[in-house]
Amino acid sequence: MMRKWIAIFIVFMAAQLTAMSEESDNLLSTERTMVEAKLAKEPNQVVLAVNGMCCRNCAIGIGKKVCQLGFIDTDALPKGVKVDRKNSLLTVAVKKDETVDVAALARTIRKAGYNLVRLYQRVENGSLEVTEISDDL
Amino acid sequence: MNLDPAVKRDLLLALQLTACMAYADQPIMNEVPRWDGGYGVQVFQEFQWSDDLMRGNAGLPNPENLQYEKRITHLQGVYTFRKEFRVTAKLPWVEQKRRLIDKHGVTRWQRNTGVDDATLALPLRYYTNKRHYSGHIGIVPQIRFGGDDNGHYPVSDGSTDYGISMTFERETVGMKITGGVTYWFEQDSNQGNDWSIDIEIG
Repeated sequence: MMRKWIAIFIVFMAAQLTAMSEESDNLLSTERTMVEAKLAKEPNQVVLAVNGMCCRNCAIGIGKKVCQLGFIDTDALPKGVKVDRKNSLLTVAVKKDETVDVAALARTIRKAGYNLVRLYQRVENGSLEVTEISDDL
Repeated sequence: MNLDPAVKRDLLLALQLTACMAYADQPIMNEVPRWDGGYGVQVFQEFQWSDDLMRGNAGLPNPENLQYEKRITHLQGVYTFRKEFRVTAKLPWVEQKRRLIDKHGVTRWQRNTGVDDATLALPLRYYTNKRHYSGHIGIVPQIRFGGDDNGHYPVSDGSTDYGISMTFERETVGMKITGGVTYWFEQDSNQGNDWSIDIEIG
């Protein structure tokens, strides 16, 4: 019996160590479509793809940390931040005429326990700009 | 009630933490703050009662209604330096009583209250963040300081013990599985080392 439980535990540990398959093009395309629709209505917002953001309690930490950044418009959205755990997306309201400090966002999200992987924002000509974020930013 | 959203959020977090299952040998609840500088406390009560008299696996008749009752109030706290490194503490307060037959053959109640073993632990975790899931594997050195061992019915064995746990967690939006194996090196000569496994699916 004891061996059985230890075997089960080892299997789960191994599963934890095994990386999941990389994101498929299809998933990214769906994400992009979703974000485009969202940002068409809200030009003063940016959307961030954040890996690991599926814990209900821990997502609180992201809101707590990100809303302290100077360029966040805390009057829009709840304190300037909206967490979509289902799609691993974080919407952030940006103050008018302020630019997004991507490095500060990446650092802050890392301090909250997660990883910023992509940033979507509307640029001046109205098109959607996608910035891939590396872990060492 | 018109509460500030931040207060509402903190209350919700406190309720969720309180509702979490306490692990037998894990340092503290699983829902710990992940952000740098995050902290939390929880208090909960555990109640144990039994009037089963056993010899091995066989039950014995209990005409004297011998029994025991134990109420443990757990105070637990956590502080996150960074997600890979935390400190946690557990302090249990015990009120216990038992009905027994004394050396004169008289049935009577025996009671005691006091602080059971306080546990201090350093959970070290390696996190994996991927799209739509998150998880960790970890190792947790622990020390259990001996509590009140006074009287004929002591709350604690009074010895300071050392433990080590290995833990894992995997979480998606809809499901969470956590588990751990703990081994305690008992310093009390009357007790052997012991170990336990905790697995929770939710």
